[in-house]
Amino acid sequence: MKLQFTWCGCLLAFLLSGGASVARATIDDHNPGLIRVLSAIDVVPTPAQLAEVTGKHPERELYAVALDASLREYLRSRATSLLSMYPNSTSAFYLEELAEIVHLRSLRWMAVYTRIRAFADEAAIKFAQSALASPATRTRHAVIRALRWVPGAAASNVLTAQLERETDTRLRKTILRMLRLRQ
Amino acid sequence: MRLLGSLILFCVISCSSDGSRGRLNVSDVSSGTALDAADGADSSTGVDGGDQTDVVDGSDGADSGDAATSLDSVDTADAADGGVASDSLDGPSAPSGIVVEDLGTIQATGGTSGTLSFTTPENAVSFSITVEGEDGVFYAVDNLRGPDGVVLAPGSWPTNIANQGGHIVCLICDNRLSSGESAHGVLVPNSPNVSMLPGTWTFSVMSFTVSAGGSAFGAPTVELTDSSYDVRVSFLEPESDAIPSEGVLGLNLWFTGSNGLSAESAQTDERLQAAVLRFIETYASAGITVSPVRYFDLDIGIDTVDSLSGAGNDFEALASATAGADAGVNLIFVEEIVDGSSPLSGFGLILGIAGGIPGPTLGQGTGRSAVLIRTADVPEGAGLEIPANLGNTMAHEAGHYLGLFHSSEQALFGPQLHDPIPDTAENDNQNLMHFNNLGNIISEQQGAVIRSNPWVAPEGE
Repeated sequence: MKLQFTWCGCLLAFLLSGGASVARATIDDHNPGLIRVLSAIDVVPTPAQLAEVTGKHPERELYAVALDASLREYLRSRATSLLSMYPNSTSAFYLEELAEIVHLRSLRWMAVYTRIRAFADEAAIKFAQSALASPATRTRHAVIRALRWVPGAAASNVLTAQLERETDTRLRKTILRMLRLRQ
Repeated sequence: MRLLGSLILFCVISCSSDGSRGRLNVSDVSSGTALDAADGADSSTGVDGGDQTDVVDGSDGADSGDAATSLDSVDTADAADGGVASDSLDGPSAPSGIVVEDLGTIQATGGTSGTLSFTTPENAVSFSITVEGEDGVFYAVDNLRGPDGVVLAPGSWPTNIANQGGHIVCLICDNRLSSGESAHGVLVPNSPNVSMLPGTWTFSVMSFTVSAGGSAFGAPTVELTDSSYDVRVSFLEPESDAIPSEGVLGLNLWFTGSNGLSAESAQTDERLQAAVLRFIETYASAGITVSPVRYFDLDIGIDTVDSLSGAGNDFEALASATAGADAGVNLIFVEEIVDGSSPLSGFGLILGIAGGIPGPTLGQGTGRSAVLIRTADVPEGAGLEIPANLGNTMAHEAGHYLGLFHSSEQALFGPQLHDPIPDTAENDNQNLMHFNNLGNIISEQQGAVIRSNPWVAPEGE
């Protein structure tokens, strides 16, 4: 596993360094066990099952998959969502990076959603408030859906405030439903 | 929920204190308010109506005031034989070969129904049991015993520590089955290793709630609970006394607006149509004609699903909105599906999910009467699952809904699991039901299981 991690760390450094624009990583550059788990279409692994196929820092391996534009969108978005199983500062950083830099709308949706729902802390609320300023409807949608799962009055207050300024009809309906489900 | 209301109404009439039971034909159950929007002229009828407000408001979407008229005229059962009525209520449009026996409404205390029974006719080749119950309550058929006394599902299997499938899948059952929340289906046999015998079968139904375990590695807590639910059994009785080699499956496609798809646009959307064609070709390989394919809009304000369980969950809200649809498997297209239903921590994206293995049979509008399919907006070339993989996903999840388990599961922790069907090669990722769904091959015996499901009308019967 240690070997695997070292190799994954190299891949991550490669991707972050911008090397991906010169020579793209391929699926073979990733942990094959993790790719196999990510490929399952209707089963979500437990943290223990993920631990069985990843190294000491599964967040990094997941992030490397999420970043790799040569991979299927599903693998990347699913890897992003599974960062929810490691709610630490590293994952938070990765998710905020993904929300900022990825172009795929679905992947960005998942990054924003996961950042808020999985952490559900004060920083998540601040991130939510910031993301709600986005002109992209799907980004605001991700925030609204995620806030349903954040306990406390602060999340309700953010949703209520957004309801007052939200102009998209479908999003307004979604906010109302989320507020109702939080009760 | 119109159907559920109708069944309850029927039971109030026919299943009074003497416990008498009625028998009705499939057409009475599955038809009713037609929502066929294939011509594009009425793609939202019945969906944007009264049910919509209820669902958006977080209710269960029930429309108690509008029971399906096809059941309103059902005669009361004749209990003259001592409480076991078997009136046949065949209607003129009923496909022969499938008969439904209503076992009535069960008021279970202490988490068990007590012993229930039914008698399979000589020529029945399969049966399915459907339980339609309450939100937030799980149901599992247990103590399933054949006429020869063989136990196909042991008692209390969801709490049996020897069962590695926990409360979800019974791996210690000779006829593998899975529990279901709010509604539950069982198909027997689902493998050639199980004999379908004529005579009296007995079983019971467990009702229970599930809560999170104490740690990330802890098992969830299962608690038995009182519950009220309806139970019915469907028999496949082909004239040939064998599982039909051919059948017809209706397909209802529901569009929530995800990825810009609507009932109208989907009928000309190249990627979606390619996926539908893939679905049709896949089932044709098993002798099943997919027809008709119907298109509906499902605008209840939910185009993303991130709760599959518990009060007000998205799955149930969407599935309940299929009430009144014609017979067939309901595929609901949504933008994202996030499965956070595990009592363990975290959540994850999935491409699809079925309302059960199998789903509730011959009834629409229950909280599990659907299959959800992800159709995120991803440009072509980004490796999205369209068209081939979207079609595979649709066929795979429908396969679950019709009674198939994964041919091979991922090998994580201990021995790898495979389905109970002998002719599916292990770890064949070209099999339709392989966990990563790269192919669309249906084995001969898998095809037989699907054609045993009452949703697949025997062709030529």
